[in-house]
Amino acid sequence: MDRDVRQLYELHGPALLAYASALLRDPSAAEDVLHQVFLNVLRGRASINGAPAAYLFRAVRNTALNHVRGTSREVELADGGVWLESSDGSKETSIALQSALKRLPEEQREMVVLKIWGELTFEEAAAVIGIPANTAASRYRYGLAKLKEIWHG
Amino acid sequence: MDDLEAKLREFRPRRPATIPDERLQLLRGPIWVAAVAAIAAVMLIASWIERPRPQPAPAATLGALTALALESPDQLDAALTRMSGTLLPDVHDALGPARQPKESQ
Repeated sequence: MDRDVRQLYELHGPALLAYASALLRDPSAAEDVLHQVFLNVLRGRASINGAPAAYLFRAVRNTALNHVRGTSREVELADGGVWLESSDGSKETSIALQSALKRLPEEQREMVVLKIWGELTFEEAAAVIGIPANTAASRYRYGLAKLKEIWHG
Repeated sequence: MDDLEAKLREFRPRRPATIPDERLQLLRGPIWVAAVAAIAAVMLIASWIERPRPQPAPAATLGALTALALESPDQLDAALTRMSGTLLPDVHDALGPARQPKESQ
């Protein structure tokens, strides 16, 4: 059990951290949220039902939203650190993309992250958010179109 | 759009730090409490050990001093010094007998 959970962390941890960072816009708070989700599973306070990836993304989403509710707006919008790493290792490139993502409407940013880095299908992403799959697909397409306008990567 | 997706996929999400050990998480509270209690205890013991012990003042009688001078003359000076602290006025006190009179303008 313990080893299975740690394997899931190894496998999905980076994408889940990216998702939490996109929701919270604060990588250190995102990491706390991620650890909270996995510690809850390790302590037996939560059990994984169904597909592990879908469950974990949903748990991260719920925990991140709870975190936002309990945090002041100033802290929530605090800018901190890199959560996406560019292939050439350039921090500037990473920050430029993160800034562009930050300018997307929240629901579009969420969908882009779930699809690109979470590697979820529209159906899976829609189930995580709790929306119809075609809504998820259109949010994704609008998000990509807007990202193309504002990001010159 | 495909180009953009491919470009985005070149970025990899940062690897998160390892999950904090759950046993350490559970113990974190008690460990801190125990550490603070231990430090406080050490400081208390250290201050108690270093606290100057009040020396028992010898009876300030002529007979007692005479007896001390005869039996242990080497301790007489120390005994007189100890007694003077309680019997004589403090010349270092700002309001003591050795204070400087204010200069008149």
